[in-house]
Amino acid sequence: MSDYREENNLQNNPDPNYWRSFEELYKNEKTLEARNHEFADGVTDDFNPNESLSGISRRKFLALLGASAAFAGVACSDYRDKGEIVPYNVKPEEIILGKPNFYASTCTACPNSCGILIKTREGRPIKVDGNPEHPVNRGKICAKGQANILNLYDPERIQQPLKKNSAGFDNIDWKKADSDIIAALSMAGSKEISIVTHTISSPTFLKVLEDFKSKFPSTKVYSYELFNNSNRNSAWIKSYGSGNFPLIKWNEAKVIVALDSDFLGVEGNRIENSRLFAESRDVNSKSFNRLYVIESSMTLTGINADYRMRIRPELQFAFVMSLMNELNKKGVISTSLASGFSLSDFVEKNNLDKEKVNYLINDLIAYKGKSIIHAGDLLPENVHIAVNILNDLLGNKNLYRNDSSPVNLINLASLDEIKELVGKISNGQIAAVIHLDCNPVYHFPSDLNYKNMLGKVPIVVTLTERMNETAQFSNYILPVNHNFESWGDAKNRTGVISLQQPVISPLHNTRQKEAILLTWISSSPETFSETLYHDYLMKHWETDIYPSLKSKIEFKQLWFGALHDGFLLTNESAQNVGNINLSSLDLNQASIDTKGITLILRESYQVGDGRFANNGWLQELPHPVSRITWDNYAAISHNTAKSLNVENDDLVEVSVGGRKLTLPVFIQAGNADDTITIELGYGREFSGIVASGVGFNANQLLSSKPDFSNWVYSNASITKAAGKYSLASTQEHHAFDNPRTQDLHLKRHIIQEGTVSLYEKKPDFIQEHRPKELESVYTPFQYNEMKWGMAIDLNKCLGCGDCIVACNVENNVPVVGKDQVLKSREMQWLRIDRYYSGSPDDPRVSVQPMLCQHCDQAPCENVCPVVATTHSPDGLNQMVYNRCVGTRYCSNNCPYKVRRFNFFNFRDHFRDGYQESSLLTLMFNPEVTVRSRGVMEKCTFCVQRIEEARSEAARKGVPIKGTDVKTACQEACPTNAIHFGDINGKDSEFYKYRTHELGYYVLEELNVRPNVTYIAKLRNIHTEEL
Amino acid sequence: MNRKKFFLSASLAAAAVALFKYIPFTLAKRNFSSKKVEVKINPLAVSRKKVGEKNV
Repeated sequence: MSDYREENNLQNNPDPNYWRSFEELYKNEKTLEARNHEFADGVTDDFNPNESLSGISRRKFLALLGASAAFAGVACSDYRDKGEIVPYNVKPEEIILGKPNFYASTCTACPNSCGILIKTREGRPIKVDGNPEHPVNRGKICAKGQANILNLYDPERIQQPLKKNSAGFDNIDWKKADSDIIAALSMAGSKEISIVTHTISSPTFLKVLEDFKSKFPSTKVYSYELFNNSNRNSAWIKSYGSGNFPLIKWNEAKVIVALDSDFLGVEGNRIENSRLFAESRDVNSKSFNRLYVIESSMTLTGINADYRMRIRPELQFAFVMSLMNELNKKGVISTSLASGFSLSDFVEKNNLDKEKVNYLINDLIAYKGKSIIHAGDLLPENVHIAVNILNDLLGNKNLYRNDSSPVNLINLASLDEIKELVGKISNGQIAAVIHLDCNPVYHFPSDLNYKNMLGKVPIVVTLTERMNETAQFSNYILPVNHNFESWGDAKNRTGVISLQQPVISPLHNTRQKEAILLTWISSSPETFSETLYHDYLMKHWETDIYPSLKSKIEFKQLWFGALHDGFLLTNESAQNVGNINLSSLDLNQASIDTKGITLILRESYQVGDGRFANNGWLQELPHPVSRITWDNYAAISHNTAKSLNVENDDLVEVSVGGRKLTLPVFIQAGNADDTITIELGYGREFSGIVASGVGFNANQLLSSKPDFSNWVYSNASITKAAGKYSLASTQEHHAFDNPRTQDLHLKRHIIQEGTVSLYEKKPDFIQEHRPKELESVYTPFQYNEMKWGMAIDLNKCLGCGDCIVACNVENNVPVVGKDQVLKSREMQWLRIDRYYSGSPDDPRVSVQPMLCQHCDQAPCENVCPVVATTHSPDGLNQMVYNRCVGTRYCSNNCPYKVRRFNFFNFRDHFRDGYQESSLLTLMFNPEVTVRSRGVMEKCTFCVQRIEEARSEAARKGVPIKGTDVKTACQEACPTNAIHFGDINGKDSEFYKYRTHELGYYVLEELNVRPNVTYIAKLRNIHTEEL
Repeated sequence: MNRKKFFLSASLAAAAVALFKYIPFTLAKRNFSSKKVEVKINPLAVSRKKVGEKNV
């Protein structure tokens, strides 16, 4: 990195305008040169006939020609049997061929239990979206929830029970497995049977566990999550005596202060948080909240901040107390708790921006009772207590929701309880360990030595969908149903119970985990039946849940109605927030040594805690901040990198408390100096062809004796190691044409931004930059009827990337693999462009979803020699796949760089044809052509959905309306930033955005007349100028 | 080229072509499950035809 500056004589004066990466900021010659080429080095092979064929004889030429013809003839004569299409002899009543069915269910991708609607075609689940009626997620679902469909069809799912032998595992039948395990459990006696599981959010599953405990009284349940909010909840109990940390009215907060809290990224129900947050970022109502983020690592929440400051996590307690003292001094609150702290000293000592801190103080005063301070999950309990007190003193309790509260059916096991379990195993006090769809060998701190401890347990049973690190060390591996094959229910907040139903019968010889436990409870393997858990669930609802509802309708009617809806609303009141206990704050924990480097371990945005590591769509989803795919890395600040003399991709050794890990470095603008941030969830072993060997297992840096919090470790060290490791970042891919000017995005108004103050004063300030209407050499086509268009509100777009995965699933977009991403060959039709501006220490971040703009005068159409890309009468830029011969001229001529070329049949190319397996083909959307090698593709505005709506309108005999169609990205967007509709439909909501005073087109001066409108982002800062 | 060599070359070429066609190149690849899967609907589940509707 320092090389770029020296080479370009830039020293410490980086250009303040927009930049995409450090390579661009410091004008790295190689990167800028690469912009001049459509394809990266090595992507297209140079072929020089004079060199390759020089001196060829006529005879040799004819021989080669003949041989080529013969081989081509042989190759083309191969007929691959694709099977037969046979109509239903007896058509299932609910299926109409060609028409989808929808099933309401509950997502189990994380403990949030969002309501989902699963779309099936001829019995095959093909798409997951949020259930629009569900009160929590209201029709939206995160990337993991959407990509979960790939896990259903994963060909590497375990398909029958396995029993360990000396060399590996043998297939056994369920009856034998059940008999062996029942016998082992019956002999447990007083020794403990340990059940290890993730969060339990199902009341009926909890009842199964209670029944299990009744049958086997020595059972103990250990529920754990690698990332959890236990510090927040324990702080709440100390502060208020009971209950859980409440839900927050993010939409009513005028000022939000996030302290290392990634509430828009990975903490809490981020779908709900994002929606509520974005409700107060509305250009139509001119309502804007103000977000202050004070954090150590650049997070998704951080990139959306109006004001952002960076401090190490150990300093957060002193920061909160200093704020408290300052507010006390100003007479806004009355407390002597923070008298030992001084904000001015803190600001001075930690080199914070005084102006920003003053703004924060003034806003907390001005919006007393309308602001919320929120500490992150990774911060220790004492910071949460201090935050609870400050919120209470400021009267911000108003923003705790009183319509619903979180519900914990069973508390998570503490680290001490986990240590106790390991101790019992070591002492031979455990008769059996049952892992319920979890992976503690991977998740538990390595110093617990859980993997080797399992060898001391007489019988270890792992119930799992696919092989993992824990299953490898188990005596029995029992394959469980996928979420979409299972029954269940979920309750994680008051007032709503969600139901989960199977949308397909099990694809393999698998069973539902609850049914497996019920079989063991009955002590007879013969008890199992396909409906065992369904019957149990229904009975539990009838006897335990239904009476408490006091419903006027009969149970069966309620049951089927609730199954249809996917949830049931109940009359439960939320918890009351009592009086705060000021003595809960322990001031002795204030002084923390911040010397050395701080290691911060975070949850991966893409693969979570590792349970989605086998999911290619998520692995290939660019990181919302760094844009890196297929890896984790040590993210360090620009200054820390300089002091260590390391560049991007250099290998470094991170060491803390004797635990070490070597991994590549990535210089992240905006990270706090002297911190290392590593995301967990990578470096999986024994986990299938997609997950194994991807990234680095940073879980080995976790300790069972953390000094600050479970995820933050002080006094770490980092040293440069030998070698480099290529990280596949999409950040520099598909860049707009660059005339070697650093402020291209500013000069060409690709990103247009302003401030709320400026907008209030001059609402049409954006229009100054718009070029005058230009004449075209083409006669414009008159769109007198429908014309499809899109509007993207950059005030609401957070850059999360949920839309990318939704597009992948809807449009059968293949996974290409890291090697291809390194060559800019990722196939995603929609990308999120991320720009920085300002200094690398304190960058302002802008995000912009970029997809085919469906230009009226599309440059791609003019250059296609075979007319494979054409324009439809309703304004769509269309691809005719079977006409495309792959010249790539269209891609070359596209100013937005949104076309994607199939350099291979990626389904065959990726991981030995993993995506070609017959199981994964069941996942295809039958309405979208599966593209093969040599074909160009791009966003179609979900033309299949448009055609479906048109067909439906024709059936009803009414004209199609713009509101009849929702694109996949629009449907997925948690903040409703994407609007789609008829440009000529003047009464629609979409039309308001299309003609909004803040609306602009990207590269408008090219006169290609795009049909995607961007609504300029407004920063809610105190000045008019950015 | 003499007659004998021509026929030898021609027959070798034919054999090579035939062999090429039947060499199972896919053996070098990992064989993911290709078993026939029966897609069945769970009869106890409740489906619907529309996205946004509520019963209870």
